[in-house]
Amino acid sequence: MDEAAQDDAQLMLAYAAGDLRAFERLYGRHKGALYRYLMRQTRDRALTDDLFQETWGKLVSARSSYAPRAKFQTYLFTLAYHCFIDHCRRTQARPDTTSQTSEGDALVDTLASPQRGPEQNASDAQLRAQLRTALDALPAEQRDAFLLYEHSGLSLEEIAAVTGVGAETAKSRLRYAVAKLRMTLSTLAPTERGTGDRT
Amino acid sequence: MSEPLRPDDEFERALRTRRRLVPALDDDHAGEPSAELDRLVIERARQALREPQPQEVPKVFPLLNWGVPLALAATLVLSFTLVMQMDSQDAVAPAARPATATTAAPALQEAPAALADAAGPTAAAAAESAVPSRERRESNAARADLAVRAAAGAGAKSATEADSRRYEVRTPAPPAAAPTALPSSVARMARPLDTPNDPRRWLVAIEALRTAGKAAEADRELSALRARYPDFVVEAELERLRNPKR
Repeated sequence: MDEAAQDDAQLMLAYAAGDLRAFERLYGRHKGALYRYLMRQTRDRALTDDLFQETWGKLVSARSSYAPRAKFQTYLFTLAYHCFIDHCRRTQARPDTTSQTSEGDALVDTLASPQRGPEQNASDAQLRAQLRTALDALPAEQRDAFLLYEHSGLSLEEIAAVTGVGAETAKSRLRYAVAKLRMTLSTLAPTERGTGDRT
Repeated sequence: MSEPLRPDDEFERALRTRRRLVPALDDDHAGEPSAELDRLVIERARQALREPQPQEVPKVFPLLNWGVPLALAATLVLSFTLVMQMDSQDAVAPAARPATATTAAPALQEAPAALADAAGPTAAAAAESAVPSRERRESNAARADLAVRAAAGAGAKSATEADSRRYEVRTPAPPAAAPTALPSSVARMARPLDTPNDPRRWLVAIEALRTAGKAAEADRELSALRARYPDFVVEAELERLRNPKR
Protein backbone atom coordinates (compact mmCIF):
# COMPACT_ATOMS: atom_id res chain seq x y z
CA MET A 1 0.00 0.00 0.00
CA ASP A 2 1.22 3.47 -0.83
CA GLU A 3 1.46 6.35 1.61
CA ALA A 4 -2.00 7.75 0.90
CA ALA A 5 -3.57 4.32 1.29
CA GLN A 6 -1.73 3.80 4.56
CA ASP A 7 -2.93 7.19 5.65
CA ASP A 8 -6.49 6.24 4.77
CA ALA A 9 -6.17 3.05 6.77
CA GLN A 10 -4.78 5.01 9.72
CA LEU A 11 -7.67 7.44 9.53
CA MET A 12 -10.17 4.61 9.49
CA LEU A 13 -8.52 2.96 12.47
CA ALA A 14 -8.48 6.29 14.28
CA TYR A 15 -12.18 6.69 13.61
CA ALA A 16 -12.82 3.19 14.89
CA ALA A 17 -11.00 4.28 18.04
CA GLY A 18 -13.39 7.23 18.42
CA ASP A 19 -11.84 10.05 16.42
CA LEU A 20 -14.58 11.76 14.41
CA ARG A 21 -12.08 14.17 12.84
CA ALA A 22 -10.40 11.24 11.18
CA PHE A 23 -13.68 10.19 9.64
CA GLU A 24 -14.33 13.71 8.35
CA ARG A 25 -10.98 13.76 6.64
CA LEU A 26 -11.58 10.33 5.17
CA TYR A 27 -15.01 11.33 4.00
CA GLY A 28 -13.70 14.51 2.44
CA ARG A 29 -11.12 12.55 0.47
CA HIS A 30 -13.40 9.98 -1.06
CA LYS A 31 -16.89 11.39 -1.14
CA GLY A 32 -16.59 12.95 -4.59
CA ALA A 33 -15.28 9.90 -6.39
CA LEU A 34 -17.76 7.64 -4.67
CA TYR A 35 -20.67 9.89 -5.40
CA ARG A 36 -19.77 10.23 -9.08
CA TYR A 37 -19.34 6.51 -9.39
CA LEU A 38 -22.78 5.87 -7.91
CA MET A 39 -24.29 8.65 -9.96
CA ARG A 40 -22.88 7.13 -13.13
CA GLN A 41 -24.24 3.76 -12.14
CA THR A 42 -27.73 4.78 -11.12
CA ARG A 43 -28.34 7.89 -13.22
CA ASP A 44 -30.69 8.95 -10.50
CA ARG A 45 -29.74 11.54 -7.93
CA ALA A 46 -32.18 10.43 -5.26
CA LEU A 47 -31.10 6.84 -5.60
CA THR A 48 -27.48 7.90 -5.62
CA ASP A 49 -28.02 9.78 -2.38
CA ASP A 50 -29.58 6.70 -0.82
CA LEU A 51 -26.82 4.36 -1.92
CA PHE A 52 -24.18 6.90 -0.93
CA GLN A 53 -25.60 7.09 2.57
CA GLU A 54 -25.98 3.35 2.75
CA THR A 55 -22.37 2.82 1.76
CA TRP A 56 -21.01 5.17 4.39
CA GLY A 57 -23.45 3.75 6.89
CA LYS A 58 -22.06 0.28 6.33
CA LEU A 59 -18.55 1.61 6.69
CA VAL A 60 -19.47 3.22 9.99
CA SER A 61 -21.15 0.07 11.26
CA ALA A 62 -18.19 -2.09 10.31
CA ARG A 63 -15.58 0.18 11.86
CA SER A 64 -14.83 -2.16 14.74
CA SER A 65 -14.08 -5.04 12.43
CA TYR A 66 -12.10 -3.02 9.90
CA ALA A 67 -8.62 -4.33 9.23
CA PRO A 68 -6.36 -2.69 6.67
CA ARG A 69 -5.84 -5.74 4.49
CA ALA A 70 -6.27 -3.77 1.26
CA LYS A 71 -6.46 -0.19 0.14
CA PHE A 72 -9.20 1.73 1.85
CA GLN A 73 -10.54 2.75 -1.55
CA THR A 74 -10.94 -0.88 -2.50
CA TYR A 75 -12.86 -1.49 0.70
CA LEU A 76 -15.07 1.54 0.21
CA PHE A 77 -15.87 0.84 -3.43
CA THR A 78 -16.52 -2.80 -2.65
CA LEU A 79 -19.15 -1.66 -0.17
CA ALA A 80 -20.61 0.72 -2.73
CA TYR A 81 -20.58 -1.89 -5.46
CA HIS A 82 -22.43 -4.36 -3.26
CA CYS A 83 -24.92 -1.74 -2.18
CA PHE A 84 -25.65 -1.06 -5.83
CA ILE A 85 -25.89 -4.76 -6.71
CA ASP A 86 -28.17 -5.35 -3.73
CA HIS A 87 -30.37 -2.52 -4.89
CA CYS A 88 -30.52 -4.04 -8.37
CA ARG A 89 -31.53 -7.36 -6.88
CA ARG A 90 -34.20 -5.77 -4.78
CA THR A 91 -35.63 -4.06 -7.83
CA GLN A 92 -35.13 -7.22 -9.92
CA ALA A 93 -33.06 -5.44 -12.51
CA ARG A 94 -30.56 -2.77 -13.05
CA PRO A 95 -32.04 0.66 -13.56
CA ASP A 96 -33.28 1.27 -17.03
CA THR A 97 -30.33 3.24 -18.26
CA THR A 98 -31.90 3.83 -21.62
CA SER A 99 -34.54 6.02 -20.11
CA GLN A 100 -33.12 9.38 -19.38
CA THR A 101 -34.18 10.85 -16.11
CA SER A 102 -34.36 14.52 -15.54
CA GLU A 103 -31.62 14.12 -12.95
CA GLY A 104 -29.42 12.44 -15.50
CA ASP A 105 -30.02 15.23 -17.95
CA ALA A 106 -29.24 17.69 -15.24
CA LEU A 107 -25.96 15.94 -14.65
CA VAL A 108 -25.01 16.36 -18.27
CA ASP A 109 -25.98 19.97 -18.11
CA THR A 110 -23.74 20.55 -15.15
CA LEU A 111 -20.82 19.15 -17.08
CA ALA A 112 -20.80 22.27 -19.18
CA SER A 113 -18.73 24.92 -17.50
CA PRO A 114 -20.39 28.34 -17.25
CA GLN A 115 -17.02 29.93 -18.03
CA ARG A 116 -17.05 28.51 -21.54
CA GLY A 117 -18.85 30.03 -24.45
CA PRO A 118 -22.32 28.92 -25.44
CA GLU A 119 -21.10 27.13 -28.57
CA GLN A 120 -18.44 25.26 -26.66
CA ASN A 121 -20.94 24.36 -24.01
CA ALA A 122 -23.26 23.06 -26.64
CA SER A 123 -20.45 20.99 -28.10
CA ASP A 124 -19.51 19.60 -24.73
CA ALA A 125 -23.10 18.81 -23.97
CA GLN A 126 -23.36 16.98 -27.25
CA LEU A 127 -20.21 15.02 -26.57
CA ARG A 128 -21.35 14.05 -23.11
CA ALA A 129 -24.74 13.06 -24.34
CA GLN A 130 -23.05 10.79 -26.84
CA LEU A 131 -20.84 9.41 -24.14
CA ARG A 132 -23.78 8.80 -21.88
CA THR A 133 -25.54 6.93 -24.62
CA ALA A 134 -22.43 4.86 -25.21
CA LEU A 135 -22.13 4.09 -21.52
CA ASP A 136 -25.75 3.06 -21.38
CA ALA A 137 -25.21 0.73 -24.27
CA LEU A 138 -22.37 -1.07 -22.51
CA PRO A 139 -23.04 -4.40 -20.84
CA ALA A 140 -23.38 -4.00 -17.10
CA GLU A 141 -20.10 -5.77 -16.31
CA GLN A 142 -18.14 -3.61 -18.74
CA ARG A 143 -19.77 -0.48 -17.40
CA ASP A 144 -18.89 -1.53 -13.85
CA ALA A 145 -15.27 -2.04 -14.78
CA PHE A 146 -15.09 1.21 -16.68
CA LEU A 147 -16.75 3.34 -14.03
CA LEU A 148 -14.68 1.83 -11.26
CA TYR A 149 -11.54 2.53 -13.23
CA GLU A 150 -12.48 6.08 -14.12
CA HIS A 151 -13.95 7.15 -10.82
CA SER A 152 -12.37 5.18 -8.07
CA GLY A 153 -8.73 5.24 -9.08
CA LEU A 154 -8.47 1.55 -8.39
CA SER A 155 -6.04 -0.67 -10.19
CA LEU A 156 -7.18 -3.54 -12.35
CA GLU A 157 -6.47 -6.01 -9.57
CA GLU A 158 -8.49 -3.93 -7.15
CA ILE A 159 -11.36 -3.64 -9.61
CA ALA A 160 -11.22 -7.39 -9.98
CA ALA A 161 -11.39 -7.74 -6.20
CA VAL A 162 -14.34 -5.35 -5.97
CA THR A 163 -16.32 -7.09 -8.68
CA GLY A 164 -15.29 -10.58 -7.62
CA VAL A 165 -13.64 -11.64 -10.87
CA GLY A 166 -10.11 -12.35 -11.99
CA ALA A 167 -7.76 -9.57 -13.00
CA GLU A 168 -7.70 -10.74 -16.60
CA THR A 169 -11.47 -10.72 -16.74
CA ALA A 170 -11.57 -7.21 -15.35
CA LYS A 171 -8.99 -6.11 -17.87
CA SER A 172 -10.88 -7.67 -20.72
CA ARG A 173 -14.09 -5.98 -19.66
CA LEU A 174 -12.31 -2.66 -19.43
CA ARG A 175 -10.72 -3.10 -22.83
CA TYR A 176 -14.05 -3.84 -24.48
CA ALA A 177 -15.70 -0.91 -22.73
CA VAL A 178 -13.01 1.52 -23.85
CA ALA A 179 -13.12 0.22 -27.41
CA LYS A 180 -16.87 0.75 -27.62
CA LEU A 181 -16.71 4.19 -26.08
CA ARG A 182 -13.95 5.16 -28.46
CA MET A 183 -15.98 4.06 -31.40
CA THR A 184 -18.89 6.15 -30.24
CA LEU A 185 -16.80 9.21 -29.53
CA SER A 186 -14.94 9.01 -32.83
CA THR A 187 -18.17 9.76 -34.60
CA LEU A 188 -18.40 12.97 -32.63
CA ALA A 189 -14.80 14.05 -33.10
CA PRO A 190 -15.27 15.86 -36.48
CA THR A 191 -18.14 17.84 -35.06
CA GLU A 192 -16.04 18.76 -32.10
CA ARG A 193 -13.16 19.85 -34.32
CA GLY A 194 -15.52 21.87 -36.41
CA THR A 195 -16.83 23.60 -33.37
CA GLY A 196 -13.30 24.29 -32.22
CA ASP A 197 -12.39 25.84 -35.56
CA ARG A 198 -15.28 28.15 -35.36
CA THR A 199 -14.28 29.31 -31.92
CA MET B 1 -11.79 16.93 -24.79
CA SER B 2 -9.89 17.47 -28.02
CA GLU B 3 -7.31 14.83 -27.11
CA PRO B 4 -7.25 12.22 -29.85
CA LEU B 5 -8.67 8.87 -29.00
CA ARG B 6 -6.09 6.29 -28.08
CA PRO B 7 -5.67 3.32 -30.35
CA ASP B 8 -5.81 -0.20 -28.93
CA ASP B 9 -2.05 -0.52 -28.62
CA GLU B 10 -2.04 2.37 -26.20
CA PHE B 11 -4.49 0.68 -23.87
CA GLU B 12 -1.77 -1.03 -21.89
CA ARG B 13 0.26 2.17 -21.66
CA ALA B 14 -2.75 4.07 -20.42
CA LEU B 15 -3.31 1.44 -17.78
CA ARG B 16 0.31 1.60 -16.66
CA THR B 17 0.40 5.37 -16.43
CA ARG B 18 -3.06 5.38 -14.85
CA ARG B 19 -4.34 7.96 -17.33
CA ARG B 20 -7.99 8.40 -17.91
CA LEU B 21 -9.08 6.15 -20.69
CA VAL B 22 -11.73 8.49 -21.99
CA PRO B 23 -10.84 12.12 -21.31
CA ALA B 24 -14.35 13.20 -22.19
CA LEU B 25 -15.33 11.80 -18.81
CA ASP B 26 -13.00 14.21 -17.09
CA ASP B 27 -15.90 15.56 -15.15
CA ASP B 28 -14.56 16.33 -11.74
CA HIS B 29 -17.35 18.80 -11.26
CA ALA B 30 -19.94 16.42 -12.58
CA GLY B 31 -21.38 15.59 -9.25
CA GLU B 32 -20.74 16.08 -5.58
CA PRO B 33 -22.88 15.11 -2.65
CA SER B 34 -24.96 17.96 -1.38
CA ALA B 35 -24.12 19.73 1.85
CA GLU B 36 -27.18 18.16 3.40
CA LEU B 37 -25.97 14.71 2.43
CA ASP B 38 -22.55 15.48 3.89
CA ARG B 39 -24.20 16.55 7.12
CA LEU B 40 -26.28 13.38 7.28
CA VAL B 41 -23.30 11.11 6.78
CA ILE B 42 -21.13 12.92 9.30
CA GLU B 43 -23.98 12.97 11.79
CA ARG B 44 -24.43 9.25 11.42
CA ALA B 45 -20.73 8.70 11.99
CA ARG B 46 -20.92 10.84 15.12
CA GLN B 47 -23.94 8.95 16.45
CA ALA B 48 -22.22 5.67 15.84
CA LEU B 49 -19.36 6.79 18.06
CA ARG B 50 -21.79 7.62 20.82
CA GLU B 51 -23.45 4.24 20.66
CA PRO B 52 -21.71 1.37 22.34
CA GLN B 53 -19.75 -0.63 19.86
CA PRO B 54 -21.38 -3.90 19.09
CA GLN B 55 -19.50 -6.58 20.91
CA GLU B 56 -18.39 -9.36 18.70
CA VAL B 57 -20.04 -12.50 19.93
CA PRO B 58 -17.35 -15.05 20.56
CA LYS B 59 -17.94 -18.15 18.61
CA VAL B 60 -18.93 -21.08 20.68
CA PHE B 61 -17.35 -23.36 18.15
CA PRO B 62 -14.66 -21.34 16.43
CA LEU B 63 -13.82 -24.22 14.15
CA LEU B 64 -17.40 -24.67 13.05
CA ASN B 65 -16.81 -22.94 9.75
CA TRP B 66 -14.67 -25.75 8.42
CA GLY B 67 -15.66 -28.31 11.03
CA VAL B 68 -18.92 -29.19 9.33
CA PRO B 69 -17.38 -29.99 5.95
CA LEU B 70 -14.61 -31.86 7.72
CA ALA B 71 -17.11 -33.92 9.68
CA LEU B 72 -19.00 -34.72 6.50
CA ALA B 73 -15.82 -35.78 4.75
CA ALA B 74 -14.78 -37.92 7.71
CA THR B 75 -18.20 -39.59 7.78
CA LEU B 76 -17.95 -40.37 4.10
CA VAL B 77 -14.46 -41.80 4.42
CA LEU B 78 -15.44 -43.87 7.44
CA SER B 79 -18.54 -45.23 5.74
CA PHE B 80 -16.59 -46.07 2.62
CA THR B 81 -13.92 -47.82 4.68
CA LEU B 82 -16.52 -49.83 6.57
CA VAL B 83 -18.23 -50.89 3.37
CA MET B 84 -14.93 -51.89 1.85
CA GLN B 85 -14.01 -53.85 4.96
CA MET B 86 -17.33 -55.67 4.95
CA ASP B 87 -16.82 -56.54 1.30
CA SER B 88 -13.35 -57.85 1.95
CA GLN B 89 -14.65 -59.92 4.88
CA ASP B 90 -17.28 -61.39 2.63
CA ALA B 91 -14.59 -62.25 0.14
CA VAL B 92 -12.34 -63.81 2.79
CA ALA B 93 -15.09 -65.74 4.57
CA PRO B 94 -15.11 -68.53 1.96
CA ALA B 95 -11.36 -68.57 2.21
CA ALA B 96 -11.64 -69.12 5.94
CA ARG B 97 -12.91 -72.66 5.35
CA PRO B 98 -9.91 -73.54 3.25
CA ALA B 99 -7.94 -72.19 6.13
CA THR B 100 -9.56 -74.89 8.29
CA ALA B 101 -8.50 -77.37 5.70
CA THR B 102 -5.08 -75.85 5.77
CA THR B 103 -4.90 -76.57 9.45
CA ALA B 104 -6.34 -79.99 8.80
CA ALA B 105 -3.83 -80.77 6.10
CA PRO B 106 -0.91 -81.00 8.52
CA ALA B 107 -3.10 -83.36 10.52
CA LEU B 108 -3.30 -85.60 7.55
CA GLN B 109 0.42 -85.33 7.07
CA GLU B 110 0.95 -86.05 10.74
CA ALA B 111 -1.34 -89.02 10.63
CA PRO B 112 0.98 -91.32 8.65
CA ALA B 113 3.47 -91.42 11.48
CA ALA B 114 0.81 -92.53 13.90
CA LEU B 115 -0.64 -94.92 11.46
CA ALA B 116 2.76 -96.36 10.71
CA ASP B 117 3.07 -97.25 14.34
CA ALA B 118 -0.46 -98.47 14.75
CA ALA B 119 -1.66 -100.03 11.54
CA GLY B 120 1.42 -100.87 9.63
CA PRO B 121 2.48 -99.94 6.13
CA THR B 122 -0.95 -100.07 4.57
CA ALA B 123 -2.46 -97.57 6.92
CA ALA B 124 0.64 -95.41 6.68
CA ALA B 125 0.40 -95.39 2.94
CA ALA B 126 -3.27 -94.56 3.19
CA ALA B 127 -2.62 -91.72 5.56
CA GLU B 128 0.18 -90.38 3.39
CA SER B 129 -2.09 -90.19 0.46
CA ALA B 130 -4.96 -88.74 2.45
CA VAL B 131 -4.98 -85.25 1.02
CA PRO B 132 -8.33 -83.48 1.16
CA SER B 133 -10.26 -82.63 -1.91
CA ARG B 134 -12.14 -79.41 -2.21
CA GLU B 135 -15.54 -81.04 -1.99
CA ARG B 136 -14.76 -83.42 0.82
CA ARG B 137 -12.36 -81.28 2.73
CA GLU B 138 -14.24 -81.38 5.97
CA SER B 139 -14.98 -85.08 5.85
CA ASN B 140 -11.32 -85.74 5.06
CA ALA B 141 -10.33 -83.73 8.07
CA ALA B 142 -12.74 -85.79 10.14
CA ARG B 143 -11.30 -88.97 8.74
CA ALA B 144 -7.82 -87.76 9.53
CA ASP B 145 -8.98 -87.18 13.03
CA LEU B 146 -10.36 -90.67 13.12
CA ALA B 147 -7.05 -92.02 11.91
CA VAL B 148 -5.21 -90.12 14.56
CA ARG B 149 -7.53 -91.41 17.20
CA ALA B 150 -7.12 -94.91 15.83
CA ALA B 151 -3.41 -94.53 16.10
CA ALA B 152 -3.93 -93.35 19.65
CA GLY B 153 -5.70 -96.58 20.45
CA ALA B 154 -2.88 -98.70 19.07
CA GLY B 155 -0.24 -98.02 21.66
CA ALA B 156 0.58 -95.82 24.60
CA LYS B 157 3.63 -94.23 23.03
CA SER B 158 2.02 -93.59 19.76
CA ALA B 159 -1.12 -92.46 21.54
CA THR B 160 0.81 -89.83 23.40
CA GLU B 161 2.39 -88.61 20.22
CA ALA B 162 -0.88 -88.70 18.36
CA ASP B 163 -2.64 -86.84 21.12
CA SER B 164 -0.02 -84.19 21.14
CA ARG B 165 -0.24 -83.94 17.40
CA ARG B 166 -3.97 -83.87 17.55
CA TYR B 167 -3.72 -81.12 20.06
CA GLU B 168 -1.45 -79.26 17.71
CA VAL B 169 -3.79 -79.84 14.86
CA ARG B 170 -6.89 -78.87 16.76
CA THR B 171 -5.43 -75.77 18.28
CA PRO B 172 -7.30 -72.99 16.59
CA ALA B 173 -5.15 -70.65 14.65
CA PRO B 174 -4.42 -67.46 16.53
CA PRO B 175 -6.53 -64.55 15.39
CA ALA B 176 -3.49 -62.71 14.10
CA ALA B 177 -2.78 -65.57 11.76
CA ALA B 178 -6.37 -65.75 10.63
CA PRO B 179 -6.65 -65.58 6.89
CA THR B 180 -8.86 -62.52 7.08
CA ALA B 181 -5.75 -60.55 6.40
CA LEU B 182 -5.24 -62.37 3.16
CA PRO B 183 -7.12 -61.61 0.02
CA SER B 184 -9.22 -64.50 -1.17
CA SER B 185 -6.98 -65.07 -4.19
CA VAL B 186 -3.92 -65.48 -1.96
CA ALA B 187 -5.83 -67.76 0.38
CA ARG B 188 -6.86 -69.85 -2.59
CA MET B 189 -3.23 -70.20 -3.63
CA ALA B 190 -2.34 -71.31 -0.11
CA ARG B 191 -4.72 -74.26 -0.20
CA PRO B 192 -3.33 -77.77 -0.61
CA LEU B 193 -3.62 -79.38 -3.99
CA ASP B 194 -6.97 -80.97 -4.58
CA THR B 195 -7.12 -84.68 -5.26
CA PRO B 196 -10.07 -86.68 -6.58
CA ASN B 197 -12.18 -88.50 -4.07
CA ASP B 198 -11.05 -92.04 -3.59
CA PRO B 199 -13.27 -94.53 -1.79
CA ARG B 200 -10.38 -96.95 -1.67
CA ARG B 201 -8.38 -94.62 0.53
CA TRP B 202 -11.40 -94.07 2.70
CA LEU B 203 -11.71 -97.83 3.03
CA VAL B 204 -8.05 -98.07 4.01
CA ALA B 205 -8.68 -95.60 6.80
CA ILE B 206 -11.70 -97.59 7.91
CA GLU B 207 -9.62 -100.74 8.00
CA ALA B 208 -7.09 -98.91 10.09
CA LEU B 209 -9.84 -98.03 12.51
CA ARG B 210 -10.98 -101.60 12.65
CA THR B 211 -7.44 -102.77 13.20
CA ALA B 212 -7.17 -100.34 16.07
CA GLY B 213 -10.23 -101.84 17.72
CA LYS B 214 -12.63 -99.04 16.84
CA ALA B 215 -15.15 -101.30 15.24
CA ALA B 216 -18.15 -99.11 15.90
CA GLU B 217 -16.52 -96.10 14.32
CA ALA B 218 -15.30 -98.25 11.47
CA ASP B 219 -18.84 -99.50 10.84
CA ARG B 220 -20.21 -95.99 10.94
CA GLU B 221 -17.61 -94.81 8.44
CA LEU B 222 -18.29 -97.83 6.28
CA SER B 223 -22.00 -97.00 6.19
CA ALA B 224 -21.15 -93.46 5.20
CA LEU B 225 -18.89 -94.71 2.46
CA ARG B 226 -21.58 -97.00 1.12
CA ALA B 227 -24.09 -94.24 1.16
CA ARG B 228 -21.78 -91.94 -0.73
CA TYR B 229 -20.50 -94.52 -3.19
CA PRO B 230 -23.35 -96.96 -3.71
CA ASP B 231 -21.67 -98.50 -6.78
CA PHE B 232 -18.45 -99.15 -4.96
CA VAL B 233 -18.13 -102.86 -4.20
CA VAL B 234 -16.88 -102.70 -0.65
CA GLU B 235 -16.55 -106.39 -0.02
CA ALA B 236 -14.34 -107.03 -3.03
CA GLU B 237 -12.13 -104.15 -2.14
CA LEU B 238 -11.95 -105.27 1.49
CA GLU B 239 -10.97 -108.70 0.37
CA ARG B 240 -8.27 -107.25 -1.80
CA LEU B 241 -7.02 -105.12 1.06
CA ARG B 242 -6.93 -107.95 3.52
CA ASN B 243 -5.28 -110.34 1.09
CA PRO B 244 -3.21 -108.23 -1.20
CA LYS B 245 -1.41 -111.25 -2.61
CA ARG B 246 -4.53 -112.54 -4.26
